[in-house]
Amino acid sequence: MTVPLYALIARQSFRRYVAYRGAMLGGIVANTVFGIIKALIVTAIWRQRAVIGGYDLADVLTYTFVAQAMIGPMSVLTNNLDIPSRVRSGDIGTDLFRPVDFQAYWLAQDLGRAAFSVVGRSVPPFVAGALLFRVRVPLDPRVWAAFAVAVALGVLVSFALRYLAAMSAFWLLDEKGVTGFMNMLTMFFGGLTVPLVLFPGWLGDIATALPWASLILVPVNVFLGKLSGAALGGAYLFEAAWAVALLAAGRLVTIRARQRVVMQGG
Amino acid sequence: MGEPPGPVGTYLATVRMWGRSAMQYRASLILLMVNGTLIAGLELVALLVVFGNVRSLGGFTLSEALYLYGAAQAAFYISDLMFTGTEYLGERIRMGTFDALLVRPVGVLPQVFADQFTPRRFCPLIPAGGAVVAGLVGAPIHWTWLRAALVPYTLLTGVAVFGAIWVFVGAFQIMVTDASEAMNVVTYGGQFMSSYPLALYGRNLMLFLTFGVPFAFVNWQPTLYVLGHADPLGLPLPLRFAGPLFAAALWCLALFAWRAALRHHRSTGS
Repeated sequence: MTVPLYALIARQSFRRYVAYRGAMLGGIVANTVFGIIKALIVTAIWRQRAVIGGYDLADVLTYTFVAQAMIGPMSVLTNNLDIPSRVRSGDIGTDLFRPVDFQAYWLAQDLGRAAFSVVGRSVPPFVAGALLFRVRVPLDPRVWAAFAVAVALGVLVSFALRYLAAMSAFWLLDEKGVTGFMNMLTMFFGGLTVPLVLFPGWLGDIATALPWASLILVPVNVFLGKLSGAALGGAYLFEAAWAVALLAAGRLVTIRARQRVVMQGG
Repeated sequence: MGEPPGPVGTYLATVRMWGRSAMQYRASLILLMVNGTLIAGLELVALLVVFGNVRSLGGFTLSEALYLYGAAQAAFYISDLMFTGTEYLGERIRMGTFDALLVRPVGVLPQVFADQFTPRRFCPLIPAGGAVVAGLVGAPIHWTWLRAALVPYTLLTGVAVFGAIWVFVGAFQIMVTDASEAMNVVTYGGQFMSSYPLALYGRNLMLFLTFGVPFAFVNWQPTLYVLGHADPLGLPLPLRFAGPLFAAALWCLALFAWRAALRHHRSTGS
């Protein structure tokens, strides 16, 4: 199968989300307001201690608004894959028959969604944060480029996790329990509920080793210029390793799911 | 068939119907109940993580913050349990199923409140209740009858304030069907904001949260009295007890908005 085909799928998906402008606007407002409340809370914490977990106030304010900007692209709060509803309606049969790879098809769709989200949903909350608070904005274009790579790898990990949760629909009639559980883990271990740097030692060590660290923590550390040279390579390797492992797990699940499908004639 | 039931009867009948429906997928329901408890529990853990780094937040110690947090969360989740059906209105309007509620010979609002009720909404009350109890046990409160009475009074006021907000959510969904996520700012944002000491937010935002959108009365104002704290804004003492007045005013506005929205509603037809 050719790459341009998947690029086309991604572009179509991008366009589909352009149509939902109302939802996008609602998301922007919510992400911005929540960012402001969180920024006020972390300000109160950091006023009492200048540095926590290697972060000063400007670092954590940056973390807060980059995290809010990542909610959309990383789809932190929702699963956002249509697989379960298509399993229930039977449309999944069409998807399985398509002359494209099933997992790659959904990945292409999700990349289109994430790309739109970066353009439409990530920028406003961050700009609002940068105007209202003392946020660090990198001036070096190389940092921005490195950040873009970290975000792209993070989106791969995010997709791989959500794909595993959504595929449970092949085994369960109602997958909401599994996808909800995954969203909960993502919110907490992704460091959206509370910045990961506030986690106490042992919990922090566990959290930074789990795949969810790829979604917000690694991109933020790149954005803050805390990672460069070998450390940056190591961080990319961390994200890529989780992406490969989780996508491979998704591959196995896809094979098993295919064997389970029973088509009703019609 | 006799007389159609009144608002409360309609509400309870709809709740029973949705409750039975949710019971059909038992395994899924149990998983969702565990989820609901864990999600609310992890947010509580987040507060504990914060206090692992600092001794006080907005002038509140851990125990005091736990009580404030638990009271706000409990009020929100009780209101969620009772009224959150309004959140599904946008979807109903898009699907054209809202009209099914309009043509029944019973009140519309009670049916909407109970829409898609599920027993799992009880679950987040477990960590919230735990936080209230832990806070009340741990905080150095000089108990008087008035302070003791203020605890349930705070909860009821909070439920009333959030309840009115859910009515606004319903009205908003009828007027603007596809931008409903914006209302999350007021509902979940209100829940989040009122869970932490308002002193964190600075003078202007505090004033807005008292007299603009009166989230200060969900728990902040009465809690200041229960815990024996002075108001950082120096607002007069009677305001600690004025919650029900603000809640009643909010309900009047909300019901007015709801009526206006219903008049505005045009069915999609077919």
